[in-house]
Amino acid sequence: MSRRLDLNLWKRYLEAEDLGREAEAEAALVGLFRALPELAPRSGFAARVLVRIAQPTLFSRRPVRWALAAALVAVAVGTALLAPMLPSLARLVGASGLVSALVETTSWLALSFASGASLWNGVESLLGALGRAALLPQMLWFLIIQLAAAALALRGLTRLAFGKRSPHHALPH
Amino acid sequence: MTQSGAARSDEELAVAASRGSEAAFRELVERFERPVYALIVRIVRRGEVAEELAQETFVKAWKALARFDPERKFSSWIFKIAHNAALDALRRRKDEALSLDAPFGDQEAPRELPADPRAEDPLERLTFRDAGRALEEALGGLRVEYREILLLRFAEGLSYEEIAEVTGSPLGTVKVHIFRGRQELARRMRAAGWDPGELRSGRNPGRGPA
Repeated sequence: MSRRLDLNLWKRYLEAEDLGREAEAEAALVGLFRALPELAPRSGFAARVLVRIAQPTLFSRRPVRWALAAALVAVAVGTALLAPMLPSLARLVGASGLVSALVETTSWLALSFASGASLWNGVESLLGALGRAALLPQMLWFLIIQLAAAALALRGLTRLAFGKRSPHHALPH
Repeated sequence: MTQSGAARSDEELAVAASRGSEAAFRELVERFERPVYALIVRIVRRGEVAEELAQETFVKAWKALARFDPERKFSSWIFKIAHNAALDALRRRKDEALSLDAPFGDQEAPRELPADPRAEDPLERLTFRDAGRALEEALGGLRVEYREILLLRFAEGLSYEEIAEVTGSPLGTVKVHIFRGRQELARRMRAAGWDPGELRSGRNPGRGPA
């Protein structure tokens, strides 16, 4: 591509712009943009990109996968234990009637699901014992804190694995 | 960017790369590293940041190649990833005001390739360089939306429809931005001394108004 600059191109462009001749102005601009300095990344750019794509992701490391699985289990167990206890929490913090109703409904749904699932029956007695213990306010707060910590750990691991933003954020739809 | 002759098209290379061919992907990177980098650096106005974002663009492209539709142009697809990465960086850093006066930060000026010394005589080279820098400065003063769209249209040769796809803007918005961007560019070039009247009178343009 020739990088010679025809000064007449400037005149044609500016005059076309003045006269509103769009096609002519656009054609002249294509030529003028060839005068822009040609910019390039540092040499070895492609090699650096290939090194980056060859690097293993965080999830390819076994300890990270185990930690993520443990965090997921902790969140699931914490949620299952906490759901039936929510009415106690509502009374404990003096929640309004509306909140109590919502909590009762959530609790009822969770218990219905638990009683309906045959797989759940095997662990129900164990969970019942844990649930009775969790009725204690101190245990309830402990569970809440544990759930929050597990959720934070899960979020942190996800951010570590995918970067600060969603992995597909910058991709075309 | 599509190569003629026996060379494979960008889209064919993308399909091969999506099947795991690093050689095909390397060729794509080599074809697009300059236009992608040039677009990003002219948006974010920082050489080092632009290099990192350009790398990020290709890494994201590699991870997403399985979703690339070979019926679409690879250039539009990669420019869209670059566009998103650059605008995200601008939003994060909120440093667009940097571009208003200085073309690039002194510490992070991008690498500028020299023009072919055999192509022009010294006077032509000087004029060419002055014109290029005046245009660079005028572009740098534009709103980032105008600047990017003008670059995609006139430096990369994308159609209006392709620009709409890259930027995610409606076609009408693209046309309006190109029109307003051109008008603003002409105004800035005139202010820098690139005026038809002054060119006719033999004054040296690009040195700023008298």
